[in-house]
Amino acid sequence: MKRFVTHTLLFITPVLLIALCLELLLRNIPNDYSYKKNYLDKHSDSLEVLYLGSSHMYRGINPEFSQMKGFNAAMVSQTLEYDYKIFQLYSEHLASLKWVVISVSSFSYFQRLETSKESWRIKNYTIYWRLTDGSKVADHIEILSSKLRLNIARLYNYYILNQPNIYCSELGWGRRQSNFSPTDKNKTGNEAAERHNKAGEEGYEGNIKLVEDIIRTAQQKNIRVLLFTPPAYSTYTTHLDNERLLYTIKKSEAIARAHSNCSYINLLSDSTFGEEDFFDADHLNSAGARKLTQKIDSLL
Amino acid sequence: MLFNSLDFAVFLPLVFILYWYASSGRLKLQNILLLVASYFFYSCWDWRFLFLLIFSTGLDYFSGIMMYEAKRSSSKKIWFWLSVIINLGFLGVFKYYNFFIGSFADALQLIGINSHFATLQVILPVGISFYTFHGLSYVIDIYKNRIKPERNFVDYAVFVSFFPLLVAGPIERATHLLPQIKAPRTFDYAKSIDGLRQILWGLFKKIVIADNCAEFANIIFNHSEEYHGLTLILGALFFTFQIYCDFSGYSDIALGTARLFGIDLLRNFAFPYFSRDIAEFWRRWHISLSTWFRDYLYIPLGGSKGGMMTKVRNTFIIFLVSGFWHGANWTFIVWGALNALYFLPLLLTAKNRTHLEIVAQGKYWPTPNEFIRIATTFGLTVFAWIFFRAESVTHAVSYIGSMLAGLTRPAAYLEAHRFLWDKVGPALPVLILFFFLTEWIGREKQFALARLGLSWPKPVRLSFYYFLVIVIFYFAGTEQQFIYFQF
Repeated sequence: MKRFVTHTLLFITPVLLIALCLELLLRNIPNDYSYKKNYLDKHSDSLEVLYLGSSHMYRGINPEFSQMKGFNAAMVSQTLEYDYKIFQLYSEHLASLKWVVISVSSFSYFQRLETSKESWRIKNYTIYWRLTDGSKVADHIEILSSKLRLNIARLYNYYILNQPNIYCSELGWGRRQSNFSPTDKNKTGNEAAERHNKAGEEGYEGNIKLVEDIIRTAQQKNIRVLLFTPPAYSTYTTHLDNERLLYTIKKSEAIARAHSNCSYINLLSDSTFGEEDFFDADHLNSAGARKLTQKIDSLL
Repeated sequence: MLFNSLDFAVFLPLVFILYWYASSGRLKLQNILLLVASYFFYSCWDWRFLFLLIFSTGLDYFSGIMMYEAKRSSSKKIWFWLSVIINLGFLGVFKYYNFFIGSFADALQLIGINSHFATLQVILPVGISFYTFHGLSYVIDIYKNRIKPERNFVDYAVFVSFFPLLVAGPIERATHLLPQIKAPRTFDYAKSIDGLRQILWGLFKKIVIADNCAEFANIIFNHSEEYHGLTLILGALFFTFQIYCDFSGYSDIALGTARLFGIDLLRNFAFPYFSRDIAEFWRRWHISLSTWFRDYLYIPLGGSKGGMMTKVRNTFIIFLVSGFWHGANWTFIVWGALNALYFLPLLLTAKNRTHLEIVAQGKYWPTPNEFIRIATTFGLTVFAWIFFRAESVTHAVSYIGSMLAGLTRPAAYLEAHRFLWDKVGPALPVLILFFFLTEWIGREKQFALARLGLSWPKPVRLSFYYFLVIVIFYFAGTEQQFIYFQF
């Protein structure tokens, strides 16, 4: 028995040591999450606008084009739960904040990160943001939340090729990598809508409450909240679950009516955004982001 | 808690240490620990269904004793049927109710009657088909006076719920497993190392081959209308490897895990894709289920003792029931019927027991004749899997239609080439080849790695195991639920 345990431990020790080294090296690579956390730690006091939301916000708002000092704290697949947690984390350190702007897409009120396909991203909120305890062991470990070959590629790109791993701009806007090419908007529209329509309903009640909590906390600090549905290309909007979309719009309008410090605007089919403004069917490119930022800015 | 999860990687060593160290070799304590661990393992899926498992265990335990002690054959019969009906009743409600209601409504619609029957919105308790069959075999064996009932509830409950086999088998027999549970168990180094090797190979099959193949099989089957000819054949091939590596990988992990606790479970797979005819395939595929149906259905129906018509009837019954056991869908029934049709010529020509020995025993390669037979059987199996994987029979028929029609179109070959080149890449075919060769080399043993490398120098052997570990981590596919958990 002792021999078996010793031999097994001897066999797995190198594997565990390599895993530990990989984990430390991966955590040492700066990323959008650690960057945004550091930025807010240092600058939250001077911010006038805080942008929160999913990739539609991350790629759609470039605070560089805002007249107020803003920061885009949105991330890909970031749900309202994490928007809420980020806002709460800094709520006592937002002395200059005048506006919180939150994107509300057709899936926003329904989606929970824990139950979505993107649940592997939770580790970013436990390891870098320290916003959550994470219910699974993998939520706390880099090497377990992505495939080894992807992690090795990250290590290689950062440590060997010296490629940066932060993709957002200084003010948190999600730039596209230069090697991305514009994709077929028909295909991406259908695929993205199908993906977003599948968001379960398990998050519904919790998410509505979270939005209302953000609004209430903001009200206590004389901060206004703007909810908006971001623009998307027709190949995306036509494939969306219409019932769910209408419900999202009506619910957002109702929330805005119920809170004096909140307003809502639906820009989903805004005619000022043309094909040239979209990278794919549901994400704006840099020109589109500039246009949207200026549009939102005019409303604040 | 999946076998290929971190949770299990923590759970297993903990139970192992407690089992061998804390129990100090006391059998009673070891069995209690196994039972508690097994119930914990099961409740990780859905704790509510634990009560169903405990009820089913209690029912069979109690029925077994009552049958044995019954003075009159009529009371024995009552207890027997009570247990069988309740067990099959649960299975029927959870697994088949919606299917029967749906099929009945469809049948009524055919004669112009529109009906609206309520369907159940329930999830299938994981492992229900497996533990129900465990219990049924136990009750039938007592009824037929083959065994005596187990008086110790803990021992009986471990027999039903032993965590390595609880959710997807192998389907054990009381005659095989209960004596092991009741006998004192001492730690066996060689057996445990063997168990670890089997776990390693099972993980390779599941994580590397099955999960990666699943990704492409899903793309092709879920969008089959977009593909043609050879690409659809590729889809069927990917599923063929997926289902074998998924289920036999699971079985290898289960058997290896049980060995760590000093228990040998029934072998479930014996390299079925190297079979030379369909009869041999069914002696090597899901062995514990095939032998269950043989012993508790085929033989009671008369087996092969009657005339040819009886043999044919019994063969069809066993294959159809086997198909239906897999799930409440006509696709499984057609899959079963198709296999029965494959089997029929062998039965009619009395060649269904021709290939009992291992193929090319003691040789490196099969003869051309053996190779052709293996390839033909493999091809027939791949074709049948299309029905097993398809969403509906209509889907399977249209899949096969597009597959055959596409074979005459050169553009379809280009499409398959693009799919392989752009989406699959070279790694997976190379890994499948490595897997196939390793299985071929190890085909005379219990599992592929059973003896492979044992004669190599230790550093080489260890390097091979490390190589497998690296491959598992590096080429891990997107995690998929074990297919047989749904059955």
